[in-house]
Amino acid sequence: MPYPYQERLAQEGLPELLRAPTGSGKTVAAVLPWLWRRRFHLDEHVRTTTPHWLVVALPLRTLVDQIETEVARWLQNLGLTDDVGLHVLMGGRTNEARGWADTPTRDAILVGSIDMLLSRVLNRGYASSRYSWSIDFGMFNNGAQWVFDEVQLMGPALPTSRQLQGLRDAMGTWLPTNSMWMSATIDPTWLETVDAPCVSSVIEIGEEDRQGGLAERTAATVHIEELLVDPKKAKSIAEAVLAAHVAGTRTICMVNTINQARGVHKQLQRLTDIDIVLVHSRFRPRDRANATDRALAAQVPQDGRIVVTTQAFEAGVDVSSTTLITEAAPWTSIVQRAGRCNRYGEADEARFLWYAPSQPAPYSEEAVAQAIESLRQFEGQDVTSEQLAAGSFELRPHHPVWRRRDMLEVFDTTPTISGEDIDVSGYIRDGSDNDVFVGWRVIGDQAPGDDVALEHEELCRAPLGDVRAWAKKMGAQPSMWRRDPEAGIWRRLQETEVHPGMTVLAASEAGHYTTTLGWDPAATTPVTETDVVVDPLAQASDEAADDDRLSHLGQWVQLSVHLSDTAKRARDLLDDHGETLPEPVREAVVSAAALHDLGKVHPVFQAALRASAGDDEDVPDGLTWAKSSRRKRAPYSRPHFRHELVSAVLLLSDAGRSLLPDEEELTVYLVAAHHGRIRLGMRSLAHDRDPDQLGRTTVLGVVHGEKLASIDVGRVHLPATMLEVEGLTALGGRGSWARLSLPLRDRDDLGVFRLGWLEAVVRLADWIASAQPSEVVDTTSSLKGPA
Amino acid sequence: MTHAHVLTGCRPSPLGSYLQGLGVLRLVGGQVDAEATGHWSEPGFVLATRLSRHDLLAFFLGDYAPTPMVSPWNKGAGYRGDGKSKKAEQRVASVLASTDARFRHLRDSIRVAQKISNRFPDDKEFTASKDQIISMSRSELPDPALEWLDAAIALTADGPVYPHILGTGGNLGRLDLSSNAMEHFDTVLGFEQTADKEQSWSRLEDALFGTQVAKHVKAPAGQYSPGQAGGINTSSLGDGDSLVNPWSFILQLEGAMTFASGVTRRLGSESDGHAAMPFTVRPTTTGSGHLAEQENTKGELWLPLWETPSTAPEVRRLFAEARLRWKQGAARSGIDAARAVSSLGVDRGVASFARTVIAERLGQSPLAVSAGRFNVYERSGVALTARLDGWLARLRGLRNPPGTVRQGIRRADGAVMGMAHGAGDASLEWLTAIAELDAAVSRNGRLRDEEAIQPVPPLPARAWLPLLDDGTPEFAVAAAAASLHESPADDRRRFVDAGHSWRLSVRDHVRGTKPTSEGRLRWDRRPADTVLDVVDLLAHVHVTHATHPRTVDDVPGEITTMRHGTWLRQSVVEAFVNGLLDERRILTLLQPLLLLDPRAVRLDHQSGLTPPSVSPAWRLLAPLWAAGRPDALGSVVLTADSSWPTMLVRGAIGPVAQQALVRLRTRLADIPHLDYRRMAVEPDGRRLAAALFLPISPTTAGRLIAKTRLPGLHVHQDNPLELQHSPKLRHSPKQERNHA
Repeated sequence: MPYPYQERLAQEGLPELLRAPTGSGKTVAAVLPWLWRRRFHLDEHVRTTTPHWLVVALPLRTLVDQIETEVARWLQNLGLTDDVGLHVLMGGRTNEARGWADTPTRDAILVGSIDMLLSRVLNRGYASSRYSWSIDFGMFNNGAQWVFDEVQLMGPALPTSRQLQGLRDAMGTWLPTNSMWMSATIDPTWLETVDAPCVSSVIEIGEEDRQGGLAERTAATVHIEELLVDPKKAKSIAEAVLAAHVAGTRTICMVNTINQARGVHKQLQRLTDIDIVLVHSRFRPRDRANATDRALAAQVPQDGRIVVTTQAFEAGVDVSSTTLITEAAPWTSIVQRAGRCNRYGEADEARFLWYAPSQPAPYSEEAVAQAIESLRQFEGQDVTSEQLAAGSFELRPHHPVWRRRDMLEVFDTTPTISGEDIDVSGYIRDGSDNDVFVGWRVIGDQAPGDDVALEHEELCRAPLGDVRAWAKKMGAQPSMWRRDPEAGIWRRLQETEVHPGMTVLAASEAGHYTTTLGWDPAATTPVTETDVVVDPLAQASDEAADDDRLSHLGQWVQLSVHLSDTAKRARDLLDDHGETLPEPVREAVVSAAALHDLGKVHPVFQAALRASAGDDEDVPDGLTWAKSSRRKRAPYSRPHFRHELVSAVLLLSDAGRSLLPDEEELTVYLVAAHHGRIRLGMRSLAHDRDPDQLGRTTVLGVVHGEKLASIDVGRVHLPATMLEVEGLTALGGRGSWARLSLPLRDRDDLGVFRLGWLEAVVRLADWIASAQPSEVVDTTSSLKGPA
Repeated sequence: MTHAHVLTGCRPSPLGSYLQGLGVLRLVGGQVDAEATGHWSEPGFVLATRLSRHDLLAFFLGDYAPTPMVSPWNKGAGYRGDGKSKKAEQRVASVLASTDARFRHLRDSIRVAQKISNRFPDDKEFTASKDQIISMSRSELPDPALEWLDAAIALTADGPVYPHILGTGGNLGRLDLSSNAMEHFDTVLGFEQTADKEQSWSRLEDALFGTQVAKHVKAPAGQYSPGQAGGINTSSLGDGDSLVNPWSFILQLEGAMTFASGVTRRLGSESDGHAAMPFTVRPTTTGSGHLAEQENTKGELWLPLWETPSTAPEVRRLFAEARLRWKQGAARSGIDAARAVSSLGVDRGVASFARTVIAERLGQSPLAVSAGRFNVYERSGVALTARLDGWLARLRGLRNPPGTVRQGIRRADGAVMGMAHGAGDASLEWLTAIAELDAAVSRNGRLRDEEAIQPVPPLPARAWLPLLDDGTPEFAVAAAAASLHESPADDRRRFVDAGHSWRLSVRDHVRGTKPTSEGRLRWDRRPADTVLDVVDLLAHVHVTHATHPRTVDDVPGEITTMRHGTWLRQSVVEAFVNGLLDERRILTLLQPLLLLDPRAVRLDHQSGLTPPSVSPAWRLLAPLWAAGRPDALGSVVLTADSSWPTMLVRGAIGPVAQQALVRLRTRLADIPHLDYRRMAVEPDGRRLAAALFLPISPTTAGRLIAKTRLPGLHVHQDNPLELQHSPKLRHSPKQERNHA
């Protein structure tokens, strides 16, 4: 039974800002109205202008699980499981992150953590290969209704998400793309950014909503009391917690720093046998999920349960407690924390106990002092969460703002000079700047091998200072390593090399972590390894520059077949969604799909493909192949060889241009970009040397002046062609790749979001066509002779 | 139709002139002709555009909309309206009062700047909140104004970094560039359409084409054109006014915005603040001719000069990435930049770089000084210097380094610059500087023990030698001496037992190093003071080596010299014995060559000397030294005695010759009675001892023996010492021939 305000959303559409108190079913409010408008609204115009994706960005992992379960149930109840996809994007489930790729135009609900989702629209998708960033970038910026929950906790992600919507509106997308922000406490001015200066639509919870179930929730009160403890002494706090704890109920103790949490947890363990759980942000993902699950479990033991935690727990977690003890914190945090006490109005004597922390850190002194003042005004009163929310205002925090020029620059995905990637995390979350990611493995006497790759699942965030001190302490002992990105090997970590955002591999024996306490510099016992499920796609295409796994998908497919398959798939995708595309652009996409793999005619590619044939296979001669049956291709005879560059160069030749539609440059760009490797920038790699050592310019394995025999593939006929790559990699100038690609990015009628979507369509068409070829060649052995 | 304008007023240097070129392309490409291209040529920047010369000038005068340059974080920028910077406030007011569409962006930006500034009415709070004001500006200023902000300030995760190109956030001392720019806008464009068009026209012509027709105005010059008011060292560039062409000033600032730091720079993984700024590196004072050493240099700009006609977005991309790649990362110092340029670590299409040093002179505005042109060209020696970056970094990081170290570093840095310029002797110069540093560390207890600075690791000889070999006999001698070494592999047990006092190479002797069991070098003891004479040095090492217990069970008298090394030609050694070679040069070459891994030091092409000079004593003795080496002839052990080097150094040539003859005769019956006393006439035993330490080939040794023996005897060509001991050979000459 929906609340009245939720019905309003279904009728009026999702607003930019939804103001509703904690526990009023906001998340439901996001999903069902969208579903209704997208699928059941009587007005066709409403259905088509409602984005086909609902992207729900949540601040917490546990929340993702909750919403996923709920949404799955609704879809099942509505019988929509086949028609509406449900996908999760979350650290630790990265192998599902692109589950939508087979049916990219199908209606779908994507639920994920905010960092996974926002990083995708910034073209730097977390837990994703550099080479597939542009696919997510195109898809998540076109045809998505974004929903951001618990806005006051988004930190820098709030202005970033606002700016992104503002920039999409200003620069244009092919498909409708909107955003809704939801919060109990937010001051609407916080949503104002330079490119999204005003909040155009706000829906607030109205009087009629205060009936029935919601009334119960909104009427729930907590009793506010100040505790007199010595905030410097964990023991004093622990004793106060124990004294306040009521048997058979849940008590939550929220402190401001992890050190404090660890201290209180330790003292509690010493003082009592009651079940105690520690939850904070410095855990490996799965350990944290386990701790959170235990903390949230509906069943509370006879003695009750005490959860010791930090602000990691305040955001949107659907949990309630009878007693909540907290350190004073900025007012929004206080409101959030109070929302975890008597959340459903289930407790008769819910108590919210607080004390002043010994230090304001990590918050500003001002903000904490202000909150203390407000709390003292409520002393001894029973208050509702709404009363609390109205109780104080605070200064708008200042976060870096993502600007149009930043957007233009990140559209390119060429690695930085150091071969690494830029770090957009400062625009996604707070306080990540000084964290280092640590993963533990059991390492023998030898240094870790090149093949050791740490997965997101294995990593725990650790403070920079702690890791530095650790590295110093370890000194000559071989127990910590860093990845040398160029050489692709692990090197011993020196204290001076520790920098924010880096990933450190630590020997299990080196300790510093336990599964129940998380990051703990005092821990000395060996750390157990995490079982890892590797995302095969991210893994396969990530590192070495000459990988090309899509050419090896289990069956031998002729090039002509693959090209026409891909063109057909592209046309299908455009028929589903591309009705707004101008005809020339549409033609460019279809032509790019029909021509993308033309460069596979190059003998280097054909030889490598044939060399990958198994002994038991008989590959007919005289055919030009696009795909082989093996997952692993034989190495190219030229390092870094890229067939898509050959495709582009062929099309740029005089004869090749005759194959192109009106949008010549766009088509060639889409062809070259179909593996996400050649986009705005193109440069020859250090190892690109003329294979014949004649000193000719060589770019990505293609030699300037080499001659390709005449081509006769499907409907494509080209005379013998000389490949010209000389000027391609220059910084500019006629014939340079920059001269072709940069204007596309800067064109008013294209722009980064639209261009990204076109790239994504070609690539997805290629993926789908590769996975489902219309015709394969049987190569099983061979007495029959060639077909 | 495309016109190619050669802007002779926009040359690669000085900095101001360079920036004008960038400014012209940025504005023409961005505001009137998107297809316009620009590139550098010697006479000036070449702008190719559909605009004729007249249209080009008319564009700037009539249509050009200035990029908003606003600096709300500067107190004196005039947005606060507190009457404290009257001039600036007036300028702001007159912009706001104008209705001219060209200044629309400027007006919009000023309004936002005022809003931000006025959030901090209290002076102290304003000053204390500078970082916050900058951050607010980055968040709130309109897009067009961000080009200025990003060029003046790189807002990194660690806070603001000030690229030198626009001083400290658009401030040069007390000079607020943005405010001054407004004044110049008024002069040349006229906020109220009041500009003197004719004068503005000719000033623009002056700026673009380098003519000197129009009157300049009195204004602060800034850092860009040090030559403006006189010679480089005579200009007064404080806050005092100079004569300035307002168009130049404007175009320079417009060009400086090409240096706006991009996302890839600000959010890259480089931790060094300089990394956030394009083509900007930490200063290396060396090689910037115009600067005195004590002058405080703040940074270096490496200005790319490209010869491919490129559009404004292409150039912007060049600067956004600012590729100067050295050792898998961005160049951080001038030295790194020089090496990046010499190892193709730059974008294709950039032909050279104009190095510019930003210096600070006492109490004055910073000054940009041109410090040479570096052509992009692969130079093999440059890459080799990378190996010691870490070692040098330790020395650079020393607190209170000794003078020798400071000097050595300066010399090494200068040599790298020289290499990047293609100076022929720069490789030797660099190695020499390193050798000096190594020597300085070896003699300094604090550096060796407290700071734990290790000896320079043995350097790859195969790569270095071709860069150093000048084909002279002096080089050959130095290389042969540097190649001498013992190999533990010859007799593992004995060497291992010998423990701490191994001296396996000449370097070990001279520098007090010892190899560890992993093959690294460690300091062993304080070496002797610098030797000024190569003869003394070699003779001394020879004596020490011969008498030094190299192994526990060393049999005295068996080994006198080091057993491995590259062979010298006889004529070269004899010339050395007779003092015919330039010994200073040998010493000069030896010091750096000692840094090379002796095992890989090989002389492949060595020419002999004609006419040969003769040293009978050396001819007699050399084969006995040669026979001490494992590569010597057959199994015959016919070696020198370990006491002989000492005797030689003392001048006892005669007795050594006598003992040598006795020793020869016990093996070889046909050794004639020579008058060894005649040999003693050769004056210098030291020289002989030094020469005998140098390795010769077994063939040479054999030839020498053969000549010593009675004439007429048949000598085995390969193995003259074997003759007496090989009855087979004696009795069957046929077989011998076959064997041959």
